[in-house]
Amino acid sequence: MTNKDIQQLVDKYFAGETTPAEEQQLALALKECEDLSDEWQAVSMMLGELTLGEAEYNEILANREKQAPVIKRMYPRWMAAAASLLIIICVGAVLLWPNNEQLSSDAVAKTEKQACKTTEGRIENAPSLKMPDSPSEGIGQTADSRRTNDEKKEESEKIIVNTAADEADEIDPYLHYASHEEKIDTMPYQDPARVNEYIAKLAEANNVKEGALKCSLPCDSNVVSAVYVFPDKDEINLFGRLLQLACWYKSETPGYRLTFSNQQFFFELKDMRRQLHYHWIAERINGKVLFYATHAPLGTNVSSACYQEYCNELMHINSINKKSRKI
Amino acid sequence: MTRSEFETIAVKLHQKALKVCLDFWSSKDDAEDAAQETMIQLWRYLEHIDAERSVEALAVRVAKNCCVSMYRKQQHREVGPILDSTKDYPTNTHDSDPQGQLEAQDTQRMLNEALDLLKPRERQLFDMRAVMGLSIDEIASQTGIPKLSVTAMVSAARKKVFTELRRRIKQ
Repeated sequence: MTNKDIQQLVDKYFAGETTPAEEQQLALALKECEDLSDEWQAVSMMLGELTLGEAEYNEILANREKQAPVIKRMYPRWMAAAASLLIIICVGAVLLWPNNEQLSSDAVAKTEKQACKTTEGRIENAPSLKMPDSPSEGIGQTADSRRTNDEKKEESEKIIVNTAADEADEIDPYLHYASHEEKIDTMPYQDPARVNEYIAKLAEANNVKEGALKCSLPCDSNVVSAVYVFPDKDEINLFGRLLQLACWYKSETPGYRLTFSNQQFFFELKDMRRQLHYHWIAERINGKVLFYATHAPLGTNVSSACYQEYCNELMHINSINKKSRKI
Repeated sequence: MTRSEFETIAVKLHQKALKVCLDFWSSKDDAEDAAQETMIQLWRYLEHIDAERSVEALAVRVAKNCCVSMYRKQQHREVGPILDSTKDYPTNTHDSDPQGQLEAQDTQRMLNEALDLLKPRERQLFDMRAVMGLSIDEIASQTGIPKLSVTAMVSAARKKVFTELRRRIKQ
């Protein structure tokens, strides 16, 4: 706010026309001024600390909202309750149905039959759609016109094949025709590596440097780890942020496992595209929060020995307990 | 406001303050601490509170100030009393150093002396605006004075206080 803006608000204040919000704005602006004139100092005193405190309260809340976007409820409560009730009924019906297997096999057979019918229908109907309007045209159709029709068909097929190939290229440019890769993730892909990116940014914002990796055990080169020691401050609120981050991932994500308490946070995910297994652990130790991230190819045995060493170091019990525990 | 009057509305005021504090603090314990602090501040300021005025609005403002005050303390890791009982108005004391406290006391004394020059009606409207944080519309509806008159009286009161304060600052 410029001095001119402040003076305008001061004039408005003396005219008794300022709103409470404008007075809060003025109180904040005057607080930030380094050399207050006598007039502005008097106005600042008149506005009082209650107005200034209220302005700061609103400012802090606004800043928090900017920093951490609030997860808004997308659906009304009744809709969520109705959906959960429906799920319970469905699950109950499936579990409690007497001829469950027979029912499912019947259902499969029915759907297969329906699928056959529909494909047959398409085959039968296909020529009729392409039949000319008048019979004379059909009879008089020359070999050339048939050829041109066949060519058109081939062209259209080629186009379809090309677009399919393009789509395949878009999905995975490295997919080789000989590779046999089963697509396991059927839901929208949420990259687990984003957790690490977020933590790295958070650490940078709070001047927390990544800890040096040191482990007395021989390291498996497949296992990639990172460690940070954050101060346990409310303004960083690492546990809250981690929880919010974990909640962003859909619980149907492969390998999703989240356990947390006020003391410890543990989160696990599998990346089926890159075939990686991610683990994140955070623990409150002596006024600090130890954050440990690790990922390794699926099926790799990941030991928590290194993590335990960091814990011991923070707890200063390295000499007492050197035993390692598995995650 | 008398003690018994305060006690009758204390539960309601506490709920109001707690709601404000819960919006601010992620920890329920911190929110309850701030709400409790608000009640203590209001209790100390009791004799200055007019029972007929909007005490809830004051409780909300004091709660916000207590939250900010606690927040600052947590940031600076300072330990000390949040309250400054020497002040007439409940405030968010952030001057933990003795010099800062003396300056704050001096400021408050000057402001009180300037406010003493106001007529009772002017003082009432000034306080409703500065302490309660009520808007002109709210003051008009509570006092029954037309809005334009409220604006004019608040303006006159502010100019009086300002002239006196400036004179004292220049001395």
